[in-house]
Amino acid sequence: MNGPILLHAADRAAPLLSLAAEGSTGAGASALRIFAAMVLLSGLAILATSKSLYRFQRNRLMARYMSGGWIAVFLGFLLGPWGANVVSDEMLLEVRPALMVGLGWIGAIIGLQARRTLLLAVPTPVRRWVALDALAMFALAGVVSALALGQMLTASRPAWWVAPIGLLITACIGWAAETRSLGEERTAAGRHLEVLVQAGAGLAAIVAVSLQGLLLILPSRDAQGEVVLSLPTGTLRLLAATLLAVGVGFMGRYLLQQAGRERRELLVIHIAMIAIISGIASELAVSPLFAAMLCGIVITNLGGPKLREFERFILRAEQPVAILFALLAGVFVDPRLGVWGLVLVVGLVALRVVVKVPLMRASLAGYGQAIPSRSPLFRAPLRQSLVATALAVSLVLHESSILNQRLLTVVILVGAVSELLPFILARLQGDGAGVADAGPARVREAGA
Amino acid sequence: MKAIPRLLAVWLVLLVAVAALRALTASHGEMEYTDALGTTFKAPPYDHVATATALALLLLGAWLSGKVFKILALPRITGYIAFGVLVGPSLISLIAPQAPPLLSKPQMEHLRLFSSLAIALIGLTAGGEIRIELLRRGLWKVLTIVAIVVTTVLVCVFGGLYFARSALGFLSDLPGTELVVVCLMLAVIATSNSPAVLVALLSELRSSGPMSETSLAVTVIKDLAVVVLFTIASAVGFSLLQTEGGGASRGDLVMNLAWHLLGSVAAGATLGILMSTILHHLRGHMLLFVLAMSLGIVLVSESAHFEPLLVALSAGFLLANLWPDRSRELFHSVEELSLPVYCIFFAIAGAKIDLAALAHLWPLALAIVAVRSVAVWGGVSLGARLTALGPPASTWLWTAFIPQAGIAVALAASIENLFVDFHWGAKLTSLLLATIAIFECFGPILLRLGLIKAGETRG
Repeated sequence: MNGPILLHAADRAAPLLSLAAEGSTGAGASALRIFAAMVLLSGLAILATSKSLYRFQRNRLMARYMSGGWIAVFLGFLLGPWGANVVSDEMLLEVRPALMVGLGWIGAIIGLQARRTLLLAVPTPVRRWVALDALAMFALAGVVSALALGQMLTASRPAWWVAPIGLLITACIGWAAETRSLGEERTAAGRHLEVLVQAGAGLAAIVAVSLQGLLLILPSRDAQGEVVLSLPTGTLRLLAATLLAVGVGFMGRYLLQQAGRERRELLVIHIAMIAIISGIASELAVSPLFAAMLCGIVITNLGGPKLREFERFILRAEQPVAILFALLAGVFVDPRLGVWGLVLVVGLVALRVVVKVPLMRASLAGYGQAIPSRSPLFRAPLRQSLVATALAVSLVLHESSILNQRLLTVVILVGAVSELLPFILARLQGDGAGVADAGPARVREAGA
Repeated sequence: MKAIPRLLAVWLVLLVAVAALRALTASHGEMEYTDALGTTFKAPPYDHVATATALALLLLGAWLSGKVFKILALPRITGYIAFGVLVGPSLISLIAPQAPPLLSKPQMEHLRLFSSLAIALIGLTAGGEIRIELLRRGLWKVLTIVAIVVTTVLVCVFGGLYFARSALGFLSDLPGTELVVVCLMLAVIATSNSPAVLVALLSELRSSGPMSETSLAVTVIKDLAVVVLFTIASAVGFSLLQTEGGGASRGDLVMNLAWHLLGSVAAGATLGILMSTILHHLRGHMLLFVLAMSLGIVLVSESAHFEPLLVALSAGFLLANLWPDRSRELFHSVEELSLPVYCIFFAIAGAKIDLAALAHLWPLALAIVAVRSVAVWGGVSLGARLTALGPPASTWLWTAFIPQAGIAVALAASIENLFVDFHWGAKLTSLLLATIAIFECFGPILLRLGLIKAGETRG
């Protein structure tokens, strides 16, 4: 079978007959690994959203971790370089352009929540709550992060600190939007509180992505590779990102009108809109998450039936995209945190416990309508927002350094531990809250 | 017609925006930076960062061009190809060699995933279109047409080039044996046509009828025949030239072909069964499933040296014929996904057209185009008469076998590698690429005309 002529003709010709195989042997092997990684991750994302897996979620603790994406993160870790090394971080960075488009997708999902009418409907105490939360986290998480990073980092100039501290602050802002697993609210007041928690989570996600976007456009690398802060460059980038978002929004509206009703054509424009905003943002060193969020805000406020169809299309893929990014986060985890990395995790978790609940109570204290004072929903802000995982992955894709991978690990650990906090507190307080059944609604909200 | 200026305005804005971006952002290679921990890491080269923009450019630009071409009563895929030519590196290098192209070669390489996906989707679509009843009813008809067309094209192109060699550029300088090998390889590649163009046009025009069915079935069988012929021709070529490996046994050749073809069919069947099983349990996210399975088809094909088109085709055939109810939604999603993938695939195909080679070799390329076109027309007309295929399908069927694209390009590129020891290897590849470029541009227009004249279009 392996005769000389076949080595010469068929073995050299056969791969070339395959249209896809155009590279050298090394490149071909690398391409194979990338294809394998993508098939595996896509397969897992599909599996994670299949009906069969819902059965596993009858178990409450499993439900909490599975629907929060933590099982996917753990699976990603097992597949990643610190586990079986089936999917390496280098392989994922090879498909970085596609991942940037994925980030843009998440950004658009977040931005699409910011419809003017919806924002105006958010009660003032909730807006105050989100503002106070953001301010408190900016100050306190900033101090905790600076103290811990001071022991970890070798660079002393402030420009180097902006992105790392920015991530840790923005990851602390907000909370998980899902409320059902905290305990089922049967009263009207309780259900109203649920809505307030969810509205606050959505608003906080927009604040977090905006803040990270703004912080990431300030530092840049000079010709020598040094990180420098430049306000004019940052302003220009912000202006460019805003113009881009507005331009793509208006262009998208026109093109969608041209596409008529054919789904295939709508698909082209939907994908192209996300790709163009993510691509140009990447080239301008602006976070695709931020730029696409701006574009989502423009689109949702422009309105019109075609853009509503775009919204539905984006939101339909919410769950697999969220699971895919949770898997990616797991692959990027670098567990070599050291003592100060662990201190950072403990510090940020402690901060959530100490600050978040009192802040919620204080903010909603003056709320006109009745709110149950002993509701388990007051433990909702303890849990880290799922957007934090996207923010961390965004930083790794922005600059794939070991530091950023370790910061991602910190964010993941804080998220995983904080997921347990309502459960532990409920047990300690003996009210049984935080252990309610988590149904499909929880899974649906996982992508938010 | 009224929409054209507006569409072109958006198209122009897109091109200017991307060109401005390319001019403003500094192009750089892979950089090594240090992070705040003091550890170094690699930042990707500019071309890698710019790939997402290139993807958007191809998607939107090709789609807009396709819309304009459709209004002008031309095939959309010709619009996609034309857009690829416009933004690709070949045109800009002729006009302004110093200017950066809107779509660079490394970016095309990074977008290779989409070409692979397109092959898998084309295979799935083609497989889904072929019904067992059609094969039962008309397999002999299909085989007869394949045999006659392939033989006619082989004989005419080989004979035409061999006897007219003195007037045909570099062919006139070749010694006897080498001339035979060159003519043989040219003739074999001339027998191929493009399943991608055919499937895309059938889908675009929503064609159905005797011409659509027969052309699809003939193309599928012919695709297999070309692979077999190319491998045999390469072996014969090496034997004649008495280069390394000239003494391979016939058994080896048969075994390798069997592995390549039967292995592809077996892998496709296995994947088809797997897909059917998953489909039984799957609820929702069909687009993602189709994407994952298409990637799976490419992965299996690349790792085992199978033919991806054949693997996908077998899987699609099995799904459509054994589990029609279960797979209906899958094929619907394949169709939905095909437009964005085709936009990118054909635009990249256009961007790869080597205009410099075309400018240099156009007289010889035109001669081959003329001989091949006449041979295809003659072969198909004869085949149609022998198989009693009635008009208008019999009159226009030949137009389906004119377009050439992906497979022919891959075969042409492989010739340069196979005959690397001969000075004419690279020239032959350039000549073939120039010929294919002509068929790639005008073939779809001809096929569209044929399908319309045969009265099989609804789109």
